[in-house]
This record gives sequence, C-alpha cells and structure tokens, in this order.
Amino acid sequence: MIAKMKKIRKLLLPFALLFVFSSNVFSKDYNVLDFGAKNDGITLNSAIIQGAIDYITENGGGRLVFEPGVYITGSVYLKSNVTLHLKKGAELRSSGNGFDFVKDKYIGWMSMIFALKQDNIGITGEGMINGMGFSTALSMLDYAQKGFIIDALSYDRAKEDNRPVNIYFRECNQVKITGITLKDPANWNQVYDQCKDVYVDSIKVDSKSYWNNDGIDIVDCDGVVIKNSYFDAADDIICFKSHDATKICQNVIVDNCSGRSSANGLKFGTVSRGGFRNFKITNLKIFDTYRSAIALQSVDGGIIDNILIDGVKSYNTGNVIFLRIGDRLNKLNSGEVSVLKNVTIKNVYAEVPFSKADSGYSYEGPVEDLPRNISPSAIIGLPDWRIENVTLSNIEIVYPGAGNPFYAKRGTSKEELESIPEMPYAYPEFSQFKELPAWGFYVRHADNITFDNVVLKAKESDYRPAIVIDDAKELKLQNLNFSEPGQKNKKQTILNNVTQRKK
Amino acid sequence: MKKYQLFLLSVFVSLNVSANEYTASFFGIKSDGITNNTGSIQKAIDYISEHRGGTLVFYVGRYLTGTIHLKSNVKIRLEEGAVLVGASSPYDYNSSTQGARAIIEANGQSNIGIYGKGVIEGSGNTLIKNMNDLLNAGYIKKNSEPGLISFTNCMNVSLNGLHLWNGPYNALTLTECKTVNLEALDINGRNIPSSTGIVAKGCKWVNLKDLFVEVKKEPFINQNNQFVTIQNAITNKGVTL
Repeated sequence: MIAKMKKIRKLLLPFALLFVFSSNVFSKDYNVLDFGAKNDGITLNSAIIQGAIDYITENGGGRLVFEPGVYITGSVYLKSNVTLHLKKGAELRSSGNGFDFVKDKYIGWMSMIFALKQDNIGITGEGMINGMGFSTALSMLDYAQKGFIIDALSYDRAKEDNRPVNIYFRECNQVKITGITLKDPANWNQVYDQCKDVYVDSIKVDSKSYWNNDGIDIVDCDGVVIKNSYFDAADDIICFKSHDATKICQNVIVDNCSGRSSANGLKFGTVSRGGFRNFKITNLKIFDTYRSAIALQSVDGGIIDNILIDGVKSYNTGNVIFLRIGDRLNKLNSGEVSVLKNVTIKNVYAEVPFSKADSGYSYEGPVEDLPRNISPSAIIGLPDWRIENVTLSNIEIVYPGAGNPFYAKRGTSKEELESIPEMPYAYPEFSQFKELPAWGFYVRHADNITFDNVVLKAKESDYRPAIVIDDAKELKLQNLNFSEPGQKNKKQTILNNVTQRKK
Repeated sequence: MKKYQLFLLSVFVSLNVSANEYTASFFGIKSDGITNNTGSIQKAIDYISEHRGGTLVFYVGRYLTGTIHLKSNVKIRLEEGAVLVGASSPYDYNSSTQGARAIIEANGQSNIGIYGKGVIEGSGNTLIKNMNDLLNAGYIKKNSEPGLISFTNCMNVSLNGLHLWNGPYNALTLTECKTVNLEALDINGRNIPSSTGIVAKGCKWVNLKDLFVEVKKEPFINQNNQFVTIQNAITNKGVTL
C-alpha cells in the first residue's frame, strides 16, 4: 500500500512541475478595457469579453487582464491558450438574469464561464467571480413558472440544468485555477469534467447563495492537484464525481485545504458510475459541517480504489467518516460490481457536536432522518458488495454521547443487528439508517478492516456501545481506547458474525 | 390594381392573426436604460413565436439591447416614449447569421412587424468611435457598422409609426423581402456622417408611405426591386425619395 502511494507520488510529480513551467509561457497581456469592456457594474460585457477571448486565442494566446472594478457578464466561452487574470478588486459578476446565460448543448448545463475541448486555459489573480446565485436562480424560477423555459421544478426551485454554475470546463487539458475567490453561484460552483491536468491553488470559495452550492466538483478527471484552498459552501465542498461509467477520476492530490459545509467536507459521489482511484489527501481541516468530514461512496456500480487520507482535523462536524457501497442503479442483479477497497485513513482528530454543526449559516442542511441519537462513523457495504481492506490508524474522535433509548433505540442482539435495513437503493448519507447501535463506529459487510490506535471518547454516557461490527471477515482491532463517563466496565465492542485476523 | 388590393388584404389579415399581447416587463425586460436586455428580449420573441405569435409591447422607458432576431408572427409595439436603444459596443452585434448587422434582425421570417410611436435609437457616433478604436488596435476586422433594422428574405413585413434615429449606418435594410409596408416613419441620422436611410435590394411589393428621411448619405437605395410604390415619402429637403 505504502509502496503504491510512493509510486503515485512519482507519477504526479512531473505534471506538478509542468504547471510551474507553463505558468510563465503566456507573456502577452491584454487589458479587457481596451476591448471596450466597462468595469462600472452596469454594462453587460459578455459579448465584449467573448470578442477579446476570440481575438487572443487566434493571436497566439495570452492573459486577458481585468483591472479592479465590477464587470457584469452572462455566459462566455474560454478558449485555448487564454487565461482570465482577475486582479485584486476585479469582479466578474453575473447580471442576475438567467436569460443572459447559455445552456450549452453538449454539456446540458448553464455556466458563466464555459470551456469545451480547450487546452492550456486558466483563471488566475486575486479577483472574484460572483454568480449572484440567489437572483439568478430566482429569475429562472420565475421564467419557469411563467412557462418561458421548460422545467418540471422540484422543491419549488428550478432544476440544476436551468441554474448557471460559475465555471464549467469539459474535456480540457492543462487547466489552472489560482488565487481567485468564487462566490455565490446558482448551482454547483466550479465543475471540471473529463479534464486532464487540473491545477487548483490558493483559491477561496464563498458559496452559500442557493441550493446545490458545492465548493469544487471534479468529475472524471485525470491528474488533479488541489492545494492551499479554503471552502465555505452550502453543499459538499471538495467533491469528486464520476458521471460516466467508462471514465474514472484518478491520480489526485489534495493538500492543505480547509473548509466547512452544510453537507459534506471531502466527498466521493454521489454520482459514482466509473469511479475513483489513486488519491492522496493530506492536511485536511473541516469545521462547522453538517454531515460528514469524509464521505467515500460507491453507489452506482463504480470503484473506489487506493485512497490515502493522512492528517485530518475535524471540529464541530456532524459526522467524521462515512464509507458506503450502495446500488442505486440496481446493478447487483446484472452481475456488475461496485468496489470500495484499499483505503487508508490516518492521523485524524475530530470533535462531533451535540448541536447542529452548521446552524446560523445560509442554506443550512435539512433536518432529516429523525429520530436518531448522534450517529457514529460508519463503514457499510452490502452483503454481496463488500468494502475491503480499510485501515484506520491514529484516530481520535470526541463524541457528545448522551444517546437516549427513549428517543431512539437500536439494540445489539443478533436479531436487532440483522434487522437493520440494507437500503441499497437509497441516497447515501451517514444518517440514512436513522438510529445505529453504536456511538462511535459502526461497521457492516466489510472485510480486512483494521483499527489501529483508535481513541473514542464520549462526553456523556450513551446507552450504546462504542463500536458495533456486524458481518466482517479478517477484522483486526488493536490499541483501541474508549472513554465514557461512569462506564468503566461497559463492554464497548460488540461483534456479530466476525472473523478476526491475528497479524 | 388587383394585386394591390390583394396586398392590402393580406396585410389586414396578418394584423389580426396575432391577438396575444405581452408586456416587456413580464419577461424581465428592464426599462432603466442601463440593463442590457438582449437575452431577455430574445427569449421573449422566441417564446411568443413558439406560442402562436403575438405582440411584445414596450411602454415608456429606455430599453438597452444588442442584436435581437425577430421571429415569425411576432410584432413589436413601441408605445409613445418607449426607446429601444442599441448597445455601444460592436461586439454586441456579433450574433448575425446572415445579412446586414442591425439592432433588430430577421432572416427567413414571415408576418413580422414593428409599430407604434416609439423610437429605435442607434448608438451612432459612439458606436463608430468604439469600432474605430478596436480597428486601430487590430482587435477586430473591418465590418459594416450595425444598422437599426435589417430584414433578409422575409415575407409580410410592416413598419409603422416609428422614429428610427441615430443609426450609424443604414437605418433600414431590406434584402429579398416580399410584401413590405413602410408607413409613417421618421428616419433621422443628421449628426452621423455615414448615416443612410432605406436600402432595399431584390424585394417585391414594397409600399412606402408618409416617410420623412434626414440622413447624410443616400436616403433611399432602390436596387432590383419590383412593384415599389411611393406616396408622400420625402427627405428633409422636400425631395421625393
């Protein structure tokens, strides 16, 4: 496993270096004001910015520089060898009118900045992209209600394909996003879909203006670096997806990132058709997050393989670790296999609150799956699609405890454990099973799982044990340490249908 | 003469086909003079055209826009005090598919019209200066200045009662259109050296009535047209077109 990781690092190094060199290739700068753009916060600049991009791409490439000021825009298409450079104080701001945005026919979604099959593109500088998500989304809702656009509408909002994201790059190579702040889209924030060599450094995301406001979405990309970045988003913040069963998200480094969410912190999925492979995630800090700090989910017939997560600090976050195999597309019967294997999570310190972790932020996560006491971290496969080879080492999690059986109860008898529903077709979420029978960790249908030096602390006494493991082969538990007030002699580990590995 | 009667009948019929009226604000079109409404006006036209046609009505106010494409069975009514203002960047007129560039274009459409006591106002010298700056910088190639209205290969076209002002180039270009009724138009480009009036090429059945044209270049370019009738159409010098 470690040898494998070293191999990945070697693989990733060349293209990390490539970016360092390529950043100096573009020397020619063009001022967007020279093309007639206005930074007055009034003039719609889409056509002018597009004219400038077209000129630069046809004339050897370069940077289109935005001096400080507010540039109103609708959709524009970035082209090969062009970098949008937003100086500090420069803001690309959505007009707030959905009709100024294009729904790209190939992609099927709307965006402020599109790129489709372009190479060597970027958005740099310390300026801002502001999607004015709330106004833009409401304008589309209004148009849908009047019948100007076709939208079935769900939850009293326009669907995703009728709400613009800030950035949607598809099938592009050598993408560089550095320094900028991405604010308030009407949908996801930035999507890199089937791109190669995506480099994201020192960006800030402030994305709490409307539903589905993710931090960053990497879909079926190969060769991705995300580092030194900060995310504050209503929905999942660092999110890897796989939309295409023939594609995969692979060779990814995430380092020194932090953030909070009203959904999940680091997430694989929910759409997970092809899968995720060769990830190294280090120095991750998650706080004030409603759902899980780490959620790795293979629920659509794809794979998750060779994942290292090293160094996580999670404060005031509703759940810490959630690993899940599901079968949303009902593929089990067609002989396909969902895979989740070879995952190492180590050096984690986490605190789970009793109260709602995201309270007070815009677009708080919906209260659901009640009644349940505080949910444990969980590794939950299916009887025939098992999670394999997961190592958890040097983990300390502080829980509130205080699980009250009169509010919600799940006992630990064989019958009670085996009556927990499998829910293969359900949307995966740490809370989906409602009450689970442990206050610290719950494992089911998983083989070759290792707990090594795991400390679980409950602040108050809980009716449940710390760990429940049901249906596991070759389990290894070593150096477990529990603390729960007034429960010195309580049996904290319950095993059902488990075989243990000695070495 | 019989042909003429038939023509009048067809105009009369087409005016009554589209009974549905939509106000601009219904589509989020803003009358503040600073919001560029191109996207919203276009969606409004597309919607009306796809829903059995009708009239898009602009009440008093200034409505900024780039190129919009008029579609079959859609009429625009500019009420008194309503001004459709052309944007001042040439990039805002890049969506032309065919034919001359203009604020309002139509290509291959039928039963279209613009009427009322309102104004269609080009950005005249400002737009010309912006074009020249971009040309001098080498950012754009030489291209004609956008006109105010340009219809190509359209049928049953009517313009009535409008003020067509401050066009940097041709106020109105008609290319290979059939059954065109122009009535009570005031075309004025007096401050613009390149301003031109009506350019009609390869059209059939064009009726000009009660027109006043004040421009620096040709008031009326009449090429290869058939059945053109002119009644009381004069320039600022009192010369018949």
